[in-house]
Amino acid sequence: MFFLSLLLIVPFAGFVTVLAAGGSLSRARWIALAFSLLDTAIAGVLLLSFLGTWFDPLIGPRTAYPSPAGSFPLYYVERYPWIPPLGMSYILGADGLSAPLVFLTPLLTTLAIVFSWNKDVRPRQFFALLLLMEFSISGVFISFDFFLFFVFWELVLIPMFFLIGIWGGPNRQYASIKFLIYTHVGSVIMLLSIFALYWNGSSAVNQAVYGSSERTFDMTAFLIGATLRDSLGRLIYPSLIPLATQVPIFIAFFFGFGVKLPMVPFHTWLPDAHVEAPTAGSVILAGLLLKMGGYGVFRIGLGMLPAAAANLWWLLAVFGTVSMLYASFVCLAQVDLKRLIAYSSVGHMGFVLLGASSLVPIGIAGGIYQLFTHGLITAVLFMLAGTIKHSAGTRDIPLLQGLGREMPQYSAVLIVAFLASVGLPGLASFWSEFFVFVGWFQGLPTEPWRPLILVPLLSLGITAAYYVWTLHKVVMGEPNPKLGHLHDLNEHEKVSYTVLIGLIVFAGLFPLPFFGMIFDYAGTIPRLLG
Amino acid sequence: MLAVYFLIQVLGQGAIGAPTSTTVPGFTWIPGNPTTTPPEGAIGINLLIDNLSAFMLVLVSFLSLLIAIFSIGYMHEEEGKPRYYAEIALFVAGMLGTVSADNFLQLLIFWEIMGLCSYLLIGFWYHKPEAASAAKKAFLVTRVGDVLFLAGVLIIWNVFHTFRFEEIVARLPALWPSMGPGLIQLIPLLLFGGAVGKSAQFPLHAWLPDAMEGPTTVSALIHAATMVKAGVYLTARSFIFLVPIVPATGEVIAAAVPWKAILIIAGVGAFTAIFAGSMALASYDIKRVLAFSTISQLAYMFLGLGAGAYLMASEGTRPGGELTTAGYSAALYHLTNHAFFKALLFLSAGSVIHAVHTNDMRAMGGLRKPMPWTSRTMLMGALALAGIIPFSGFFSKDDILAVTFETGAENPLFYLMWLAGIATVFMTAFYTFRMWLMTFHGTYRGEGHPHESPRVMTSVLAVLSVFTIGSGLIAFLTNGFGNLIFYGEPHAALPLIAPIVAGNIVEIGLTGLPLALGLAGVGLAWAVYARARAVDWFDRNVVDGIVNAIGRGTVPLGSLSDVFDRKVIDGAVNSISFETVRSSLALRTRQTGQVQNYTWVIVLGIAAILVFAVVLGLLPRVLGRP
Repeated sequence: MFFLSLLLIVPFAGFVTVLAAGGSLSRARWIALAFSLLDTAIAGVLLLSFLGTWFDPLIGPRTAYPSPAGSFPLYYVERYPWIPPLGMSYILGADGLSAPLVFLTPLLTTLAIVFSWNKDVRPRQFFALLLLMEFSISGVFISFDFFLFFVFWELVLIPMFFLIGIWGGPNRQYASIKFLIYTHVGSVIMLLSIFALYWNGSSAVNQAVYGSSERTFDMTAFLIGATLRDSLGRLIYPSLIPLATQVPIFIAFFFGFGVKLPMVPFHTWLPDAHVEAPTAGSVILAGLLLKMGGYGVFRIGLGMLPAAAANLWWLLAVFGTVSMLYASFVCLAQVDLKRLIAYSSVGHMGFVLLGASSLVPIGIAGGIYQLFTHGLITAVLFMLAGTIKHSAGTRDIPLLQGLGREMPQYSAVLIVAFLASVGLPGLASFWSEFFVFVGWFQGLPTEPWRPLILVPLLSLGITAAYYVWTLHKVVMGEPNPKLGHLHDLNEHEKVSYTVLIGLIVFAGLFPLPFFGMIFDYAGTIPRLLG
Repeated sequence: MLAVYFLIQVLGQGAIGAPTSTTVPGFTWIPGNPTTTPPEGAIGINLLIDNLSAFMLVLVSFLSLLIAIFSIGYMHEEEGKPRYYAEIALFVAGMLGTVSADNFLQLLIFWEIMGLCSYLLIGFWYHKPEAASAAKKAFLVTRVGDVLFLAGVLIIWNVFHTFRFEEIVARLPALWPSMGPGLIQLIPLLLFGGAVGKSAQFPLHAWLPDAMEGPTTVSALIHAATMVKAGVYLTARSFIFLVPIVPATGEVIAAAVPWKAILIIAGVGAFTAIFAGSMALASYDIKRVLAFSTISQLAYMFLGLGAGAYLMASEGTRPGGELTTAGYSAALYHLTNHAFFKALLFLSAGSVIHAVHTNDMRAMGGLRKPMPWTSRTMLMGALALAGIIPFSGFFSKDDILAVTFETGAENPLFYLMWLAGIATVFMTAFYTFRMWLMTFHGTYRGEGHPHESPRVMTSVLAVLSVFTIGSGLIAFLTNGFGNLIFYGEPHAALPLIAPIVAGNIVEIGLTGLPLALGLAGVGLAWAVYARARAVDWFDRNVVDGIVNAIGRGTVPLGSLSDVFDRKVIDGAVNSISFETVRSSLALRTRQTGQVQNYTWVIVLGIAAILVFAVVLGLLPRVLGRP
């Protein structure tokens, strides 16, 4: 069975094909679109296979991974040895945590390709790099071997570095180098913690799960090991990797993920990268790259180091809350629309940490759903910033006025996207933010800290404030005569916006299918804690 | 669209006959525990039809139908009509969803949808700077309340593991000890925080007068008759916390009654009533007068609910005491009457504005001749607002004041609130007739030749004036409003005929006196007016100033954060990288080109990494020793 491998093969084949055959703009973009659509279809099949059995004749039934230590809720697992002496393998898998993100990856890449339909500067390289990006991000979400995971994690940086550095704005070199070095530092620290796990406990865990005392990079060994219990029903994982080992490793991982997420105060690469990046780059950066950090927190932080997470939940909560409040405050002062959206992403990623810190299924599910909904919403927002830069020649909020008159369609999309980001009921992020708060309120037990649970709620007010202020300045009022006549949305933009807004509304009105899938994963976390 | 309104209305009317509450299961968002029926902790849309929600459904759909008809004439010349009707329709859906919710989460969801429609409709003329600012202000000020409401809902989930009213009532007797004294007060207060924002009570009242920048039909529908009532509705629903009852025995749980929260609700009501009433004295804008009056009248309803809850709880905790829901019924009675007469007043004002193209009463006057119908219907509305017998406002206002006075025997603070209520009656009569006289009496001071509005508008006004008289008489037809709208079981409702009749005798002088003074003319108006202008100054400069200052204050704070972000945090990042570059420049001198040197460095480097790795591996174990 190599169903999941298709998710890697298709975009990589597309990357190679575009490089080889995409000499002109029209050929490059059509090839890229074809491969990306195919990949989206495959990922869609994967997503739907979590909701029903329609595709079983095609890909076989979705069965839990039958490990020697019992079945584990991980699906479509592929295992092939890679470098056996070092314990490295090629392991792919998908579950309720990765399925929505795996679907989001080709979807946003496809829409980014449609949105950049007329990119005539080096089109071959541009579209090829987008597909390389799709390949490497998909790899992060489905690989279950630490080494493979790290390879994909690092590979992501390369296309993004070039996307910013070649097609970026005036200050692109500073931004791209800053992006590369900053996130690379995070990755290196993550690599050290991977080695620490490898040396401290991988053989004990491997022994318990697979009955082999070799050291291993196999992530499934750690994930399954964390669920094992002895005859008295006690978890054996703390004896394999003691708490005192877990804590420093957790902190190091958390730093790596926190830079990627990003969380305050490790976020300053993000606004610069976004402001300089081309629209397609921003869409993928905010829609997918940031999700890698959140994915890591849930997969590795909670799934493999549960005892440390249970002790250090307050660390996640503090960083999450600070990100939410601080980034929202900084948003109030932004003049550049794109910078504002970039900072709002930092704030919204704070919800993810807050949800993870609750350690209860509903909060974790909210945090994971936030990854998905924020991916959809922020993609629209960055596309909107791209459209206005293209149409009006500026993204400066004070210069943009009265767009309601000049660009009514644009304004309508802007209002819906802003309200979705505020978390209005009926739109996607209401549920994710609401369930993060439900979990957060439920997960905080001790009395002296009780009043503090209200603090993160403040960010809801500030978020509404900066968005409504921006709407007031940008959409309302009389048009700015200096900008002249502005063109409303073109056909490619309309396609991208319609798909994304449609999904945002769907995910807001019918969260159940997504939650069912996510709960399948989120419900397992409390069992790791005792 | 009109057909849809009719349908909703008929459905609503069919439902009002339902003797007890029924829950219509609807769409499930998040399934709950499947082993229980209904599934415990399920989240979805259900329709709760009890006497309160059925009544609200009829009221809301009927009023929105009338106002939609009125809009045909009023919005005739405007562009963007599809947008207008679409937003109105979404609003009506939001309001109906709010009042038929069987759980707090659904209530919150539709509540926010209403807020969105209010934002969009206030900013209907978005190119006007005042309208744009007003829309922004309305959204943000009510958002403060919404966040408090959300916090309340989250705490409710945390304690009861359900959002449904029914389940909360059933679980409260067992769970209240786990709430502790803090949460007992906090939950109703947070819910009331949402109500304060939505119903524009002090200190979150500043958005409502500004919201008058929207079309007058919107002011009539959203900012007078329906949406602002949602706060009262929510507080009525939170009676399950204000007067916690053991369902089986009907006993009030004395220790779980949030006395302080009830006092705050009633106190905010009493203070806002007199505060907003005095504000209305000074305004020249006909719509702002009505907006302040709306705030003041809503405050009466909160006063009625607060006093009613206090009375009910104190009587219920006495052995053998009977539960009286007079305050609850009186507040909702006033809600009904106010919905009709304030919609009438706003639409009449809209008719006037349609004719003279200004809101400024100084440019009106003498319109009785050219606009006879509008003048008459607005007089009816004014008489009802002023509380003149037999118009509807009289009965319900007297009910509220009577309950407040009665509660004074339980806690003397309510006597003070009663005094505030009486003073507000005086001011209400005064500003209402000041408004009517300035508009229709005397000589015309504006430009052009105003004409009566088209038939489609005046016929709506006529229908509403019939209801303005008629809604007050419901009480007599049904042997007291309390038998129609009550809290808990029907037997708990007392016939309200007695308090009404008694109240008339006690207070008719106090109600009639300010009316007589108001009618007496402009002479006294100027005298009171000089003082009122100071209140207006206070509102514009101090209260509104504080609101604006908070707004402005947060921007520099944001800028400060931005500077901090750029200089300190990013500065630290950059300086780390500069230091790295500098040290690497220094290291460049070590690039000797001699392989032996490099080998040494490589060996040292590997050693360092090994040491680091070993330390990272061992450190935990070292640290781990207790």
